[in-house]
Amino acid sequence: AEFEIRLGHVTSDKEPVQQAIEEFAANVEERSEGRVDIKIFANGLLGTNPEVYEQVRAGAPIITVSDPGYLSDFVADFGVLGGPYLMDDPMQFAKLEGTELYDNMKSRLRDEADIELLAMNWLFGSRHLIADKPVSNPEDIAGMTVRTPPNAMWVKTFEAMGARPTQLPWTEVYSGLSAGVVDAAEAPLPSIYGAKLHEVKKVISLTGHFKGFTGLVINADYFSNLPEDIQTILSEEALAAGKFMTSLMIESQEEWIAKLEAEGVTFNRDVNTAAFQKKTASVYKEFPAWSDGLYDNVRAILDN
Amino acid sequence: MQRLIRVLLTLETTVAGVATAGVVLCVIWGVFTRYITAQPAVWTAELSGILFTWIVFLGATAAFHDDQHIRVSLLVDILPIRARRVIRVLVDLLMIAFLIYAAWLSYLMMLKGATRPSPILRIPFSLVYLAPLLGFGLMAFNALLRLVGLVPDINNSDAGSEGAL
Amino acid sequence: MSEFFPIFALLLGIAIGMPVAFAIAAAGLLFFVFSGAMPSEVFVQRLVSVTHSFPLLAVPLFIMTGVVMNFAGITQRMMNFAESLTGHWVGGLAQVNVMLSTLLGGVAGSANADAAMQSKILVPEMTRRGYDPAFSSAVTAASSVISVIIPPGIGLIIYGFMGDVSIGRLFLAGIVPGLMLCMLMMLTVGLIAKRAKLEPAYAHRATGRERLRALRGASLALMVPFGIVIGIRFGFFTPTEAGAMAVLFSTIVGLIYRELHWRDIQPILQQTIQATAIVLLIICAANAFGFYMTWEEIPKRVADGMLALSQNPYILLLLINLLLIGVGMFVEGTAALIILAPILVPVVIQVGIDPVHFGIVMVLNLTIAGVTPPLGTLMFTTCAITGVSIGNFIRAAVPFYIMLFLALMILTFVPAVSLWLPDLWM
Ligand code: NA
Ligand code: NA
Repeated sequence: AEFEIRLGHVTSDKEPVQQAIEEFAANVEERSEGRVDIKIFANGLLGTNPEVYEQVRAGAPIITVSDPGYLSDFVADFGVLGGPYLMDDPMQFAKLEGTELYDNMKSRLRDEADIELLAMNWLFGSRHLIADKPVSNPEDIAGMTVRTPPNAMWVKTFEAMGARPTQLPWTEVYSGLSAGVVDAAEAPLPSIYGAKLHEVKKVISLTGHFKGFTGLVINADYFSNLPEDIQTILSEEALAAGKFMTSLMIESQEEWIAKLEAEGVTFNRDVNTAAFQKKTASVYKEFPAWSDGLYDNVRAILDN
Repeated sequence: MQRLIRVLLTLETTVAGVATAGVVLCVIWGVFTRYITAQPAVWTAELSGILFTWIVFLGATAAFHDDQHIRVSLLVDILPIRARRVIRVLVDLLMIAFLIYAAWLSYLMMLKGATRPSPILRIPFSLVYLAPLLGFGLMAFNALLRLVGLVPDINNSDAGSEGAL
Repeated sequence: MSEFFPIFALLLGIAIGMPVAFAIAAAGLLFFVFSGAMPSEVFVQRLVSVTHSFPLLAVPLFIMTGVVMNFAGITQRMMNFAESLTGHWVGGLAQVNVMLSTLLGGVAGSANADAAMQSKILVPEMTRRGYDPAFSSAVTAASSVISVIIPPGIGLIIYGFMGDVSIGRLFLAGIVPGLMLCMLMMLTVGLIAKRAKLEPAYAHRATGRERLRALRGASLALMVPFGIVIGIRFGFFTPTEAGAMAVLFSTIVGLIYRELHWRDIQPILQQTIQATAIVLLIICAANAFGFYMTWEEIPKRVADGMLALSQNPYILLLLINLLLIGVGMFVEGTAALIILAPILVPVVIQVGIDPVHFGIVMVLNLTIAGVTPPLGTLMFTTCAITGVSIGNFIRAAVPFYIMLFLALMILTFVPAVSLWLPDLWM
């Protein structure tokens, strides 16, 4: 192929995101008539998230799956998109695309960090909580030790809920939960299933505290040196695969629930989302690096 | 020159030693806060990782001074003495080339690391990449001195090394 | 550039006597410089990246535990206790040697440190009582294998890290095989001792009171291994945290015994640092080299090639064992483990072998290579200290080679020995 691109991501190749990536790679290859070849490296083979970012920024021909948390290292405003209880319905995310606010963030990312954001509309899956007991209200999670990724947004959100966020590598979460190093973990259902966490904890509360949007990024210089038609193909197919992924996740949610229930998991659907939203609202005030009025502007777009 | 090397060696082990003690304290603090304080310390894993980089690269440098790194001398040892000497010089030259280039690349990475903060403590990764820069630089310096004979070559081929399984 | 060029460069570098870590790193760097796939400086990122892994931090912590124990007088107390148990048997001191590796194995995890320490303190005593130094050296080197399999073990930590396998489960999996090794080894020693009429350390069995006194002396020290296993099992801490707790606990014990002093801090740290850095630098280099292999999809090709040979798990395990024995003859065990675990783990998973079971097999196989010629680091370490010639060592070690090989086969073909405990407990 004329252009060989590697796509590295840290998620297991058994999860839905892999399906969406394969869809993306196949469509790009087909539409470019074989000029672009995308090889996929799942399971963190190319490195951890921040490391693959560093490779992208150094100019490597790599696409990676990004989430707002990591992008906020370069343009702080992206952090707001990863905030707790930002939207009720994942489909609301589409309202952001094409707005001045969102385009501004994208071009700042291009100029300041040399990163081209191809898409950010990939619903990675609402994140839910797995523990020994149902969590319906903030009181239920108070004092609970919860495993979170090493990310300020997670830490602040769970602190605001009254929980005790702590960090474990993802590979140790299974034994950590089993042994009681942590009381609870949080992840999208496919990830919970993939890591077999349901073997050790039996209650999943559908807290949906983060909607979990991700997307694809590539080095901006590398991207701008590609022929225009290839650029268009990559951008459009990234967005299309994002829609594919989002509907896949929404449609499959009940399937995942059924799958987990068949293995003995109890689901707690009775979560007082309003109480959690209220409790975690303070998180949006804890990031002084954000632009003035950022959260209110995003809120206005989403609630419109 | 030997005195300079000795001073460097002391510095390297001191910094790595402080880092080692720091790692132990960090990890213990992480356990204690999980059981004793209201909020577990979330920064301990991250800080111990950064200290670990320093332990490895400065420790490797100290081990390099003492020529402790594991090598396979089996095949070289069966050669006649003259061929052995030629190969030794060749290996030294290759090592110096590698070390200098690796130090240069570490420097480039250090410039880039300035914009990559660690997730919780926001420590710039330049401080992480400084460790391999110093490590490779000091090893290159030592290897050069050894090659031109300013410090004695203590490597006597089949010296066993510590640190196996 | 041929995509296999870095592999040739790696083999050449090792062959001409470049230190292994640098040969691996330089070969990896060739990929970054010449493939054009990546900006070259990403090489440094791949080197540094593994030092940010929390599981690997267990390596320096358990190395440090072993060092602290020597300074804190714990090792000596463990030895007295082992002596009170087996000292009156024929070949009593050789049994003490095996027992000590088993007891200390529950706290420390480096076979080399175990072999070096016992070559220094036990072998001279054995020689004084008329044991053949070659036999004493063989027992010391062979029994040090036990300390790696009994958790915690640096080999298990590295395997778990490189192969993405839970270290907690690996630790539990090592307990039964470790005890099995200990018993097989004592049996071997007993048979040899009977034939050679080796005298016991004591003329008579230690009295109950004497044993109790030795046990009391070692009791604090003996709590460490139980503390580690129980702590991990009941979730007080992760394996890495267990390492730090073991350091803390050994230090406290040393202070209670009044054997640890301020002046010990410097040598403890220094010994820890060098041993750590030597192993870790190889892991760093292997990580950079591994990036090249991933990029060119080499593990996948190897896996396809191996699976084309056979899909039968037992035949595959046998083939892998032969491969590892071959590799172990030329590459130092830890280095081989670091390079091969990420390649082999996906292969065994595909044919349904539990990677935890395979971990015990792989670590044992490569540790045995340390006792055998031509590249046995444990053999070299021991002989360098005891002054026994390699030839005499090998002759004396033959029964132990047979026994270790037997143990390897049992562990290979009876997965339950390794998996019973972790399946029961975690
Ligand atoms: Na022993
Ligand atoms: Na051990």
